[in-house]
Amino acid sequence: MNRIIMTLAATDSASEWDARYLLAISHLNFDHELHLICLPGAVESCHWKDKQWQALALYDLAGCHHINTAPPIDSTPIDWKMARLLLSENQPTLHLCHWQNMDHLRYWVPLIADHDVLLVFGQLDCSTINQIQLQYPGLLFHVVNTSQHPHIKPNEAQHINHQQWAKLIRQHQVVLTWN
Amino acid sequence: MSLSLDSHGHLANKTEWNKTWACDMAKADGIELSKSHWQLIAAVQLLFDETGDTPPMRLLIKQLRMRLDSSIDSRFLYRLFPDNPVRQASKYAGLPKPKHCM
Repeated sequence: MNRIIMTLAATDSASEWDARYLLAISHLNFDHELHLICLPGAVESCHWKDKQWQALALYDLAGCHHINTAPPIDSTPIDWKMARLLLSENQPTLHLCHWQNMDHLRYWVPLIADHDVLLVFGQLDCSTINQIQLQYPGLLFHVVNTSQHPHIKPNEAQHINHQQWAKLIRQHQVVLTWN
Repeated sequence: MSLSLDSHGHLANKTEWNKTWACDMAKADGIELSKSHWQLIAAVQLLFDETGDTPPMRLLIKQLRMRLDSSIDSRFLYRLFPDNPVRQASKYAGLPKPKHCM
């Protein structure tokens, strides 16, 4: 049986909540073992109706876990460390972040453990890269593409090309895409 | 009996649903509603009330097995509603097009 862990985050938009619900139902429809992890603020910003939560419970959701606020179904309180354990069973994890802003990064950073790698893709400038380095000096991260250098320059410290990106995915058993 | 439909051909206001309307809609699609059809329609209406939508096929079958008859399978449902059991049962039950249906 496929084991699926779905993270629900405060950073999700209304349409992402809709998409996640349909995806959750689809997993359950195909007998996948689905677990939900509600990250901080997720329940407060949730666009699912109570009936949709009830539907997931009715259709044999394998487990629900929450950090801080509980959803309106049976759910186990956990902390970031436990969330990370559920997601990756403590294997080195590649975190994929489609760049939004520093707040988004700060929200997800607690899931990064030692020996994990963060890969940021999207539009971010050099000052932002410096900011990340200053705030998280021990963080091993790579950047694909920037607004200043739309053509990838693999010689720059954090910059990698798409082949290196694919290699990183192959090297990691667990890849977590941030919502 | 003419009630307003949404853009997908489903009843616009489910509180207006009645059995005569359902029979007429099914007849227009070449289906004569039997006792089995009505059992399924009632089960789908109940599930919609509980969950806010009609579930996809495999989840629906699981629920029908628990609620109606453990022998229900997809062939049974396709015999009743040959085009698309989930979609057609929802339609005659006066419910919107299920969200997962394309």
